[in-house]
Amino acid sequence: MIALNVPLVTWCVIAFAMVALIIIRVCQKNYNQPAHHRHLIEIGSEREEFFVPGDRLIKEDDLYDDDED
Amino acid sequence: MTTMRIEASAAEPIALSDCLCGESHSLKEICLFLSEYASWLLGSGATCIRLERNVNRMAKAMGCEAVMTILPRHIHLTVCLPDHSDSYTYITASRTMPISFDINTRLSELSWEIADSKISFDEAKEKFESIIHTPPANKNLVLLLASCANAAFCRLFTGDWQAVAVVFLSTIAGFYLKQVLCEHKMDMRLVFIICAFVSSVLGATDALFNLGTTPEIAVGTSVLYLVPGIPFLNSFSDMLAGHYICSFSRFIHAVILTCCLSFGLCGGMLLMNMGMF
Repeated sequence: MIALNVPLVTWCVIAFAMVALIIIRVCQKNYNQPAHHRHLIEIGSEREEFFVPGDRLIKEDDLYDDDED
Repeated sequence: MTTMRIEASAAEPIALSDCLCGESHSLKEICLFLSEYASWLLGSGATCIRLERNVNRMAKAMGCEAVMTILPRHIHLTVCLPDHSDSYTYITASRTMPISFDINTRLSELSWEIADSKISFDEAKEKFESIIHTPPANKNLVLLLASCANAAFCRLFTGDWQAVAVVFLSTIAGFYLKQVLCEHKMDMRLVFIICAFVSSVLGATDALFNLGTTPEIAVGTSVLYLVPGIPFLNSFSDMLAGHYICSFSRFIHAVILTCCLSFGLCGGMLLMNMGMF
């Protein structure tokens, strides 16, 4: 009987602990950043879609003078 | 970062080295820059052969020669003039940081830009500063992609779709826990044991509730995201390049992490009454 219950109890403890951890962390994060509104789904730029390690970051583009006078 | 300087004499070296770009810089300046560069490149997960090539490429462009001793936790770099009339030596502790392919690639690009004389030494230092302050990859995106990859592994090992779903969820839980524990600076070995245990327990959902026909594959693949593949590969690469001390160090590090993973997995399987025991 004990051998039958140990896996179920272990699974329940771990699963509920993980769910609780995720919920607490998400709530904490939202509580600390109340003003910043985020969309669950957004349309990103082409750069975000095809970014590969080594590509220039957006903020670095300011270093290059691309203005057409 | 702890650094320690060894000089042959108390006087500052005054020897100047002529860069390909036409500037002159003291050996000390060049050595300090190259040491910092090497420390970051090694910390970001580069192999010793890449480290040697990049540093030598830059040193040559700056009009000097560089000789390195790469140890598991330190880099001993000596920069000297081509005629060996003067030299400067610096010992830097290698940085302990998460592996970053982004920083790795961008530092390599920087070495080529210096070698091709596209940027001056001062610009290179500025660019280096911007590279080392590169923000890490989005954690949520990494979590999602790692979970998808692990679920794909499960399918690759002929797991059914129920097992794939279980592996996906157990990886999300384990990887998220790993991120949280790493944020709290917990010892990496302990993190591996805990995460492997949690993932294997959740990976046994398939067997516990009789969801599918391949529960053993779900348990086995639920911890694959913890396998230290990069240290193993770097270890092998260093061995081929003749850097046996670094190779052995990386191999032992990877083996220790694998053992921790195994402890966690065995603990989970034991408690869940899965096959092996």
